[in-house]
Amino acid sequence: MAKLIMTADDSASVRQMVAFTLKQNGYDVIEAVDGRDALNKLNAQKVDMLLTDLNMPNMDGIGLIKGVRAGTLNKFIPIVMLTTESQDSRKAEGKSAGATGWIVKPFKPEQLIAVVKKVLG
Amino acid sequence: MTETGRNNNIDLNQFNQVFFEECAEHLAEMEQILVSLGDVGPDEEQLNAIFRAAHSIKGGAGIFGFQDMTVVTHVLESLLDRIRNHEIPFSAAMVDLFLEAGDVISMQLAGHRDGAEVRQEAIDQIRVRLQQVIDSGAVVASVDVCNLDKPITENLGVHPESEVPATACQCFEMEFRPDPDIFKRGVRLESLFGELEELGELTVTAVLPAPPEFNEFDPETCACCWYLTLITTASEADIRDIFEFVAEEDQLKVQAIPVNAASGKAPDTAVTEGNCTSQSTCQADSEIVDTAIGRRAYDKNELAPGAFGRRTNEGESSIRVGVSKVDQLINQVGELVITQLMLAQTAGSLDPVVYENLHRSLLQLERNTRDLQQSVMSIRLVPISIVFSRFPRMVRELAAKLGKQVELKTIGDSTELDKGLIEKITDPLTHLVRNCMDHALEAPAARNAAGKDPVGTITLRASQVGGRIVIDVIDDGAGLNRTKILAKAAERGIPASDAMSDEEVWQLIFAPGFSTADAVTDISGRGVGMDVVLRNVQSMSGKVNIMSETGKGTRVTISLPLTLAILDGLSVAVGDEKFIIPLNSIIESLQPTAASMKSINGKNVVHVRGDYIPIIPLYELFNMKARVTDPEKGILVLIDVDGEKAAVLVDALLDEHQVVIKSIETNYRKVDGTAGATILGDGRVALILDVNSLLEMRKLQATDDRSN
Repeated sequence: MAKLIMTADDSASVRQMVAFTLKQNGYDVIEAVDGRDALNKLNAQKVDMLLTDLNMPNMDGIGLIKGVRAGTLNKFIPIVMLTTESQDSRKAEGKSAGATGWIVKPFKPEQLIAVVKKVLG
Repeated sequence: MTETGRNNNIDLNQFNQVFFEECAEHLAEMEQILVSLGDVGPDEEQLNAIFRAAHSIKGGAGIFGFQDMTVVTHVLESLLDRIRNHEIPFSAAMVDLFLEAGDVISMQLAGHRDGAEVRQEAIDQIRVRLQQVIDSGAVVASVDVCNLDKPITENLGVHPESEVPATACQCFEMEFRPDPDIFKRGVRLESLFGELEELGELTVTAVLPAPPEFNEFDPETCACCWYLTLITTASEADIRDIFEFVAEEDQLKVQAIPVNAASGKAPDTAVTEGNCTSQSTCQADSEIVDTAIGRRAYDKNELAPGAFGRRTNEGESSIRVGVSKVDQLINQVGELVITQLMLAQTAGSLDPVVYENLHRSLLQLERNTRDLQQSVMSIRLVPISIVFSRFPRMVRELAAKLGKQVELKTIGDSTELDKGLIEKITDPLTHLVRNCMDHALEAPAARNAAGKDPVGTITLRASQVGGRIVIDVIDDGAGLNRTKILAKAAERGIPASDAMSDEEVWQLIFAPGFSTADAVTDISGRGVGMDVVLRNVQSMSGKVNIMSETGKGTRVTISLPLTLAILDGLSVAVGDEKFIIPLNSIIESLQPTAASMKSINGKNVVHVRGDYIPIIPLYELFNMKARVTDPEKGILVLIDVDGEKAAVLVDALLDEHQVVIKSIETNYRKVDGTAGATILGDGRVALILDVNSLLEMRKLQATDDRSN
């Protein structure tokens, strides 16, 4: 069965690009428009992985990661943050919140898939 | 990682449109916040919103291949980040800089989207200027936030195979002591070890250095550490790359030893309790660092719902529909209204008792049609704030340029106006505001000398008055200068005299090429302003009125019809023809007595409550046969245009209608005195009178008569 991945990003263009790339590579995708939306969906749906942006309205990526780790259904899923090189401090923050890894923006579709494969094992 | 190659065929261009729209939204949001800032500077929420805008644009631009757009956004983002970390103090001058940066990004966006011209020097300039602020302000920076993690020079923790240097085999001994919460972060160690194994020959030994008590045992916590030996041609950096998501620098010790010395040997690096302690100290240290810099105040704001400048996704939802579709709908409803009118008219001749049900249903139909029509018309209405919102920035910039202090007030932002009118009203309003800034408002010193507040005020006020939208542009500046205008008029050969009333003098500034400005500036004063304003407004069936008082200020009032497509009108008969007079210009209708009528200078006037009002016989104006030519036997409809009154002579009053305006101009040509035509209930066409031009025609006729 195809693995189910959630992409959380307030930028529709990035979200669509991520979703499209994942689907092309045989993954199933759920989209979320911000942290709150993502957390709501993750409380109801078991997924295999979460890809999240850091800067989002209505709960940022860090808040989302903490929320997922504090929940039950998706407590142990790999979480990869999409971040920019200027945000090293936030990377550390994300890590201590419970992120598994990160992808530095800008990234190419093939890089995204490489990380997803790496993290999903 | 050879399988990654097949993803190259993903075409990112398909996301461009979404990205462009997103960018434009972000830029608009940024600008809106920036111009709304007072002297106090932005609060944290506002800063975060601006930061997020710059950040999102940069992120998207990088991904979708618009590298040039990341240049400015990157510097801007860095600067904003410093500001929100209080490393660089915010100053008022930054607002302009940020606005300019926004313009440059807009320009780049337009370049990609519409192929518009992109000025590279503007990009370079703004980048350098932003960087200068960072450099000069960075001195106060106390925390170097970037060095917490190892610097990331490549995009990812995934290295392409080509980068693996072809060196001789090396043996690496590794001691890996992960965070106790590593499993909670979703790390899969088996896949990590698998990846290491791909690099060469791997041995893994797991050790439990300090086994927890049984009742303290937590299966979610990692108490293990691992010793690994790897014989490989890969470098230490490659190994660390694999651990990138997993281990902090101090949690992974890597030591290279000569390959033959290490073969098959268990690691001899001393693993003592002491080492473990030092590791946990390290970890404690890093936690302190985390708390020190990791939790910034903005985090809690970012969690706050509905913070400023945030796009709410669950708010009012809307759809975008092409204007042509809406117009088509309006047209069709218009046809429906006509059909309903025809039905009503036909049914009017039927016995109301016998056909009671039919009449009741028709009444219901009329109500429903009217409601439907109103709903449909409201689709085209948009708030005037769309126009008003562009002025704060303009006023700000002009004020700086002119060295004036100006406060802009807007009232009635939510007043709704037809979309077509909104588009057309923007230019005239811009002209008027520029005029206020340049001519009307005095410099602070002059204002002080005149005993006024050094800060001038421009007020934009929109309101709905009956069937019209009234927009006032009010300033508290010097007011119009009567003497100067008259002198200028004389100079330009425009007929004018000292005997003219103030109102008439003010009208002179609408003459083409009229300007009293002593020097032509690049802001206004070329004299192409007011006549253009008047023409634009008139093309929307609107009116412009000026009130001014020397030393106190000027008020320019633009009055527009609520919509261009529908009208409440009174149908009147002249001969065999029917005409529609817009209801909002009618004061009253009356049947004059012989005593109330007089002839002044050959013009017929009617005396109504102390006023002598000129009579306009419609049949004369349109050169047609009327049943009634004697005002005494007909009906006079009193109309009011900007305070100027006239009495239109018609045969009879017929009915009140809501009529759908059909343009004659687009199908035939402009007919003087009419604002269009409509189809009546009986299928006949009636002309809609344009009371404005009726008065003008009357005046022209009067002059012709006189010259003849």
